[in-house]
Amino acid sequence: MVPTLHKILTCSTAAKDHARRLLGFGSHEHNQALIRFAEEVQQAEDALIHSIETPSLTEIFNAVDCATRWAEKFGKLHAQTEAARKFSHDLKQVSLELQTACQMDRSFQQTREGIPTDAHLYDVLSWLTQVSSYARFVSVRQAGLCDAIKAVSGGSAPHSGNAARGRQSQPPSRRKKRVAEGGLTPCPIESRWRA
Amino acid sequence: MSRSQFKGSLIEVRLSVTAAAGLAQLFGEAHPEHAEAVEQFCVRLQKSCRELGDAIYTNNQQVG
Repeated sequence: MVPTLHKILTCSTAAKDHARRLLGFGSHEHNQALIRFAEEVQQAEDALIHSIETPSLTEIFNAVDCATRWAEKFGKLHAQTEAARKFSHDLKQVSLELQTACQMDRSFQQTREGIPTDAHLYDVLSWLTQVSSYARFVSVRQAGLCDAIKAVSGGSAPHSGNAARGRQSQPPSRRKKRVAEGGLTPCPIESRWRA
Repeated sequence: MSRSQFKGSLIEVRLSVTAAAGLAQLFGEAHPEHAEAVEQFCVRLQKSCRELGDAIYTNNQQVG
């Protein structure tokens, strides 16, 4: 078996998640060490992704597609359909915000073959790791999109609520207005970003 | 959660880190062009895990 980037991220995501679960059970110093560990793993993931891939906005949306589909599958298998539905809804909303800011015309169709057959939540989280990492990568290249990118990056965990907070802080209608007013710099729609 | 349970839970972190590093090394063998990036990833992961262990196991403050 040749592991994929996704498999690697599944394990590193699990490590971060295990560490975060321990928050609050130890001393202040323990908590600080756990937080620092999760951040460092995140940075290592970012570095790995950026070294072996060339993320683009299309990649962000592809990873979002994967995360939402796998989450819905997970929800069905574990009788958590409502939680999965809300998670998918939130993630699609922040993605639509990004799409709006980028003035891309893209429908959320399946872009990768295969439906997940296992029910491991970390699979979903690892796709989100890719989503947020891609978003951070693109934010460096597209400084004008920072606000929208941050909204997507903030939704890196389904229970964090960051996605919802990002949506509330910048409603799509306001974002469209800002784009129209020149407050955001629309990125050029390159052919490689088209769906 | 007791102190021993708390510290024992770190095994889960360690297991995941080991799995991630192992898969990354396999990936690096299959993709030699990315060997350096993979090596860096493994080093960073192991270093962070070691520092977490040091912080937890050498700090004997009350847990839970």
